[in-house]
Amino acid sequence: METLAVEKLFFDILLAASLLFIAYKTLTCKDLFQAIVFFIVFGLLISVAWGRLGAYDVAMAEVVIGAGLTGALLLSALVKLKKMNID
Amino acid sequence: MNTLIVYPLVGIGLFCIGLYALIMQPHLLRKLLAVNIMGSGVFLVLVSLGMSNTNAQQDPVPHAMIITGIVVAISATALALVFMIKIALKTGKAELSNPEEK
Amino acid sequence: MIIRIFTFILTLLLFAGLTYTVLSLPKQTKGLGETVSLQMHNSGVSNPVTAVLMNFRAYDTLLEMGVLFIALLGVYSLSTSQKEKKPLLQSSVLKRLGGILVPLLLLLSAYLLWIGAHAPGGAFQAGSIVSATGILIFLSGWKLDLSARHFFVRLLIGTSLLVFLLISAVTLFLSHTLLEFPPSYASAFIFLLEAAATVSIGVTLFHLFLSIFSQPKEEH
Repeated sequence: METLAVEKLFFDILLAASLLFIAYKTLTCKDLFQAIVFFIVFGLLISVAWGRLGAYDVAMAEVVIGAGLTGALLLSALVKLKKMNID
Repeated sequence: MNTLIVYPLVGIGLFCIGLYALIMQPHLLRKLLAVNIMGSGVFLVLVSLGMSNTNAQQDPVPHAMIITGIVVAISATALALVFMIKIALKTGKAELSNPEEK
Repeated sequence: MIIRIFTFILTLLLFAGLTYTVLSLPKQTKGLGETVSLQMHNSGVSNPVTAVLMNFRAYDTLLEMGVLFIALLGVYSLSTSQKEKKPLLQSSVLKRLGGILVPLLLLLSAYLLWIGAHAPGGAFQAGSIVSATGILIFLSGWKLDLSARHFFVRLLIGTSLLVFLLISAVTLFLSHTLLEFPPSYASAFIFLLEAAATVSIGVTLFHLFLSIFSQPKEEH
């Protein structure tokens, strides 16, 4: 029981650190395409967090909408901007 | 000790990072990403606080609210992206002017 | 530079304040979990999240359908109608893969819709998978016109709002309270609402994608 608690703490802290790091990279990296890919990764990571918190319905919705559909919307908007020669 | 106390703090951290980027980043697409990350932070605080009331009984009301919130967030994002494209068509750039260059 | 430092300090103060607030919240709160589980036998489903979404707080979902509809109206009012000439990706691999994936994805969304009454799943997840299927069909260049010029597609977009309003009227007539289902019919009502919501969410999200995708490259 004791080791399990330690493993849980380790997992929580690892997930927390990677969430914050990916969010930081999403908002600061130079390339917009890179930022969108980081955002998709962020959506996947946060759905892992939903799973850890026991919110399985939310995890499912997040993985399809937050990572998949939002990524598709953002990428198609970025392609539009690139075709207009705007960065 | 309850390790789940990490998650509300992460939610607050995400909210603050997003707010800072929303204010400082000039590009509109980046501002949109920042708003989305702020929203995820708020959701994280809501779920993890609803969960930390110790007993095994899950509170489904925050979960339902957040599923609703995710769908509203994507439709707002889509509307904002169309606004961004229209602004880019009108003005030729998708950025607000940088306050530091003035 | 001064603005950057100022914003940074303000954000840091906000972080400290919010952290203090969250940490000083009372630990033992009751929440609504108990209230929900006491009423579960009246809800007609056994997944508490679906019960909250579609029964106890169904008017939230009704209003959300309104939000989705209005967002799509806003996007359409900004769009200039333009017919997409050619598909983006001309890949035979994607075409073949689409032929396998599209039926599987539709089956998955139907399964999620069905299982939502007892286990994690439900209208929102199923609807978003429907819209992902639509995007896959569109990108792999199938000769299937899904644009909103057709009355049928517009009807699908409005389905859930119509069904929700209809059922609101019926429940108002039956039990004199908005969207309060009689327990014996609750699961039928919920399934009807969920099916309508799945279709509408799927088509609406797909059309949000479509209208961003087909924005003109220059101003007319």
